[in-house]
Amino acid sequence: MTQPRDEWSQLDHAEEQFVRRLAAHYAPKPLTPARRVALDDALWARLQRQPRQTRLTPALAPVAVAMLLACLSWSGLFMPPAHQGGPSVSTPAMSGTEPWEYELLYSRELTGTAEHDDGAILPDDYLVIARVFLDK
Amino acid sequence: MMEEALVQEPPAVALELEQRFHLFVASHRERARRLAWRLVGGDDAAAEDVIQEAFIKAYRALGQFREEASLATWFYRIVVRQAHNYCRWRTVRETWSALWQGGLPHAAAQESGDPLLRRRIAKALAQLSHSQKEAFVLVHMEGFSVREASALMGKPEGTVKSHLHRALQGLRSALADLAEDMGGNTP
Repeated sequence: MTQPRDEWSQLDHAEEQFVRRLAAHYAPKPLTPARRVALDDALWARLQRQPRQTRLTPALAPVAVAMLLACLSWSGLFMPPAHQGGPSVSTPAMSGTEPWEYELLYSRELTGTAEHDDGAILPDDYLVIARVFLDK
Repeated sequence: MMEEALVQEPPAVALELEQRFHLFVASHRERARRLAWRLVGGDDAAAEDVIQEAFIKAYRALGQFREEASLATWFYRIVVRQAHNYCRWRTVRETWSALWQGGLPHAAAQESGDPLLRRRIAKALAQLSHSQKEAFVLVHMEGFSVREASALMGKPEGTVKSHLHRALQGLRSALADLAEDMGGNTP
């Protein structure tokens, strides 16, 4: 499908030289015979693999969909009931939580209070940071 | 699927198709690799991935094309599209990589000739739009005609000409020293 560079007739001499120079410098190294063989081998290996995948895909697709649906329905069955306004603090959320962290995270949710100073319940190192950044 | 068709075909026909494919790969490998390399910005591994995908698609479609010329047109169209997709995904990957890791992965290009000039050309080409870059590489670097490039890019000939004009303007301004150098040499 290659034809003579008909478009170059529209370029002036300087443009044509400029384009030729770009084309000459912007090209990959030719393939070495070893690299060509490796490339061909990789291509044939992929072609050999492809049919098995295409045969397996239709067979595995319904299985995958069924597994996805099963996971979704299973997680739906064991999900905790939806939040209905009242405070809900689950035990797993508390496990591994320091008392001051629990106080900080959940006290406002439980009491419904808006803004208040957390300085009193934070550990000392947090207070040092707070003094630097919040000018306390 | 073509591979299955090859298996089901009588052995002589399957063999003929395989031979056709071997010939097709042998006659288009270098040009396809060079085209893909130029379109993906000088990345050897990416260019090889792009042409492998395109050859696999050509293998599947081999039976549908009686003439080698029409298969070649179709094949190069796939190469252009695969390279375009690769560049699009690379942009996404680089954006995320820059956001999360603070660095950009760079292409592993083989260094030969004048690496600095090559990198400058790659950078200048990367600043063009995808269509301008494709038009320029296809017509001015790979020697396709405007009609062929328009078929490969799926765009009207007038649009391809306009892209070519803008691409040349962009490259001449980005690589002004090279263009002036050339202009100075002309009588």
